Amino acid sequence: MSKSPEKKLVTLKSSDKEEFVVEESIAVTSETIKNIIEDCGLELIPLPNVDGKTLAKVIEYCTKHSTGSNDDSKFDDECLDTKQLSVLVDMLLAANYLNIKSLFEKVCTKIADRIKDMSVEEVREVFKIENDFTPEEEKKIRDEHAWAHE
Amino acid sequence: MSGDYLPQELLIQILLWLPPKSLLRFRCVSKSWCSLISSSNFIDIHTRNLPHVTNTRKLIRHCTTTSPREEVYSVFFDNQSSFDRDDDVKIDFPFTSRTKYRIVGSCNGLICLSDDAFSGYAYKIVLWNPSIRRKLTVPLPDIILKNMGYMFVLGFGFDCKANDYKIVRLSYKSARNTSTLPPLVEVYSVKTGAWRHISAPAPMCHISGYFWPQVFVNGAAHWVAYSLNCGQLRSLILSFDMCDEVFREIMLPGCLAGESPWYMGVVVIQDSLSVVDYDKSLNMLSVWVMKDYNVVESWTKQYNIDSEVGLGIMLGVRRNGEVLLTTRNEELVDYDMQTRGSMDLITGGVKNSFFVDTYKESFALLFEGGKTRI
Repeated sequence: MSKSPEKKLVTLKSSDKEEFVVEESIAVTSETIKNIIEDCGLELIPLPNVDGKTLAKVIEYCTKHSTGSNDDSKFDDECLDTKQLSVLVDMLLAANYLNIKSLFEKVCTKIADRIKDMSVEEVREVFKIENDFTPEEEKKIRDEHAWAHE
Repeated sequence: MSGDYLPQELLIQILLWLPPKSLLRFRCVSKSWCSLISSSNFIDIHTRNLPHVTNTRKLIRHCTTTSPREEVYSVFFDNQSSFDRDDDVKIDFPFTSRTKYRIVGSCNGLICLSDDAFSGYAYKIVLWNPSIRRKLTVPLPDIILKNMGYMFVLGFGFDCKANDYKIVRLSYKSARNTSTLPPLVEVYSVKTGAWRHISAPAPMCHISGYFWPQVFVNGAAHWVAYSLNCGQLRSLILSFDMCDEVFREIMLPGCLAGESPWYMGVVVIQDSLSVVDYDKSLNMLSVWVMKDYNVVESWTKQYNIDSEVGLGIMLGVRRNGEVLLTTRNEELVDYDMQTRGSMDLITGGVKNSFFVDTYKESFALLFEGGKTRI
């Protein structure tokens, strides 16, 4: 099988050793991968900061967007429609590491939309944040904009 | 790895898409979230992101005909095929009802009001951000002019370089049938909390319709204005750029230059500067949109509306293209250009008290304003 230049393939290897064979033209949607290929000319690119599950989704996104069609909002909603916020956060970290601006922004707005109406407790749970306020301190902050908690 | 640790610079990228109400609530999440959200750096970033936030709601203001009159602010979901009230947003006007205000303009959800149309003499200018319940009464300029004999024009907008909201005041000394030129120009900035003069020259034209809202678009405040040369009146649009604080003139399309400036008004349609030309019978109006800002050839006549009922003021356009305007009976209607049908939205308002703008939520006045009572 002859390989025409446009159909050059690269292999992306996730942190958990899963390998994905992808067209180079699609892989370079990621500025990070683009730089690695340009600087090192690798065909097998290790991505220790992204797990297989997340990488699969990112590749799916890049594939759909490489066709240049504008009909992607529906796909994006499906692709990013996940019950678990942690999956979205993983995608955010991956999009940041792989430097894919459009995906990064879409995931940001999606996460923002999901947490917009959450309570303080729910947000702490989502982002695994410990409450370091004393009850008095928290009440004081809360009272400064009490209406925002209604 | 999953979800446990989100570096602050990534967290900021998520937070800047949230509305102020959510962010003010999330100050309670932890100490680091609190100091992040309260920092002026974050507020600046959030403000700079506002032009990218999708705005799908409209804010409508009107006064009731009750005594004392009440100011009513309602928010509507501006969808393709529906225009329903957003009952989750409750806005209570925080200023005394004994003062009759008119709206000077609004920008990033910050509303500028003045009672100049009604009290004539000493007047008040107030700024109010309903989305974070902050208000500010603007001190009057130091220069005390003999108010009898002066006409004051106000403009309101945002300086994107300084990230600062500004009010510009032009004081025209009255003369027989018109006013003398040039006017005295002063600018107030929210961050400095003070008035000062500008270094650029004052405009050499007059402004009609002091009490109609001006519009803020493309970084500048705009008014319908006119110049008089040897008795020949020429209508134009005057602009004041909030960043460089310079006045400029924008030419109207040829057929409007000779029209009376008292029968024209400025409005913003889908982010473009537009002019409404009212027929003297008030049964007809036409709207011209400047498709490319400052390109005179790009003026395009976009709407022509006539009505036997009698028209009031053209206020704005919905996202689906339907026009929002008042009728002679002071009802706010939604007018469909295709079907030529109209639907009542709000009835029983005080004459000329209706105001429409995109509903925006920002942190304007978070530091400089005081809490509203409610």
